[in-house]
Amino acid sequence: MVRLVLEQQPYGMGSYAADPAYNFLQTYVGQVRWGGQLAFRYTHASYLVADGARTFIGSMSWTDTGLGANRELGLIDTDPRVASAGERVFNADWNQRKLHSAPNAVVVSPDGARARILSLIATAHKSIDIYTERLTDPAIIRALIASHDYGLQVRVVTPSDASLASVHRHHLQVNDRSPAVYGCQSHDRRRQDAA
Amino acid sequence: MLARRSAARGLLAAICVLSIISWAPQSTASSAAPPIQVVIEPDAGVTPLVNFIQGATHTLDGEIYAVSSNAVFGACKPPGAVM
Repeated sequence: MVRLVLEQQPYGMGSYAADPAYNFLQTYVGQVRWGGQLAFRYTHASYLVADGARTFIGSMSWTDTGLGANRELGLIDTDPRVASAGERVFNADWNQRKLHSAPNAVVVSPDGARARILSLIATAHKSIDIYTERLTDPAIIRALIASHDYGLQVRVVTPSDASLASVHRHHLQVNDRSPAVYGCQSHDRRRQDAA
Repeated sequence: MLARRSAARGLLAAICVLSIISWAPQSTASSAAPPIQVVIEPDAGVTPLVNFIQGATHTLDGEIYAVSSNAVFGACKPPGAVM
């Protein structure tokens, strides 16, 4: 049995962008529902749990660009705790219920992801390497700046002008220095394709 | 004389045991699959995801922001279904 939760308005384009996939999956595959109706804004997750035992989780959408053009990273995990956590999240979203407590085996947004990321940053001892489409969260940027102040090497790869601007702005607010002078390396890789 | 024979038999037995141990199939170290496989795009392409979908035998639950890949649709649909 295949059950999928889809975002109804990907890329802010309205449901017409997702309707063909929804209709196909409903007709040929099994059960499909729209996500993001109650507990969160968008379904931006990308994961599958097979047989309640194996998990495919990654940054990629299941599009030609996501699976053949973009830089994306995914993991196939056979840890049953991860699969169980994925099923918990899935069942909450499938049934349009709030996830009252996020499972520990995975990081779930909006249910505590920021705190988990901040904790990861705080426990780094030597370096922090980040590859992200967007980095605009003030708390995370402040934590990265604090880590750099503490002597850690902090490197960010982002294709997003908004992320770079945000890093610049927060550096300026905190230290009145540009990132280049400050020492935080950021690589501006222009977006060439949609997600 | 008896002691010598006994010693010889003991030596022979030891050699036999050693030989049996030497010829016994080596116990293979448990080579369990690594718990995590990393998928890096665009190098990996659709194959890891398609294989994962097709490897499900009972249930497949998931969430996705956008799906439009024909390879994924093909992997999801039951055998014999015409798209």
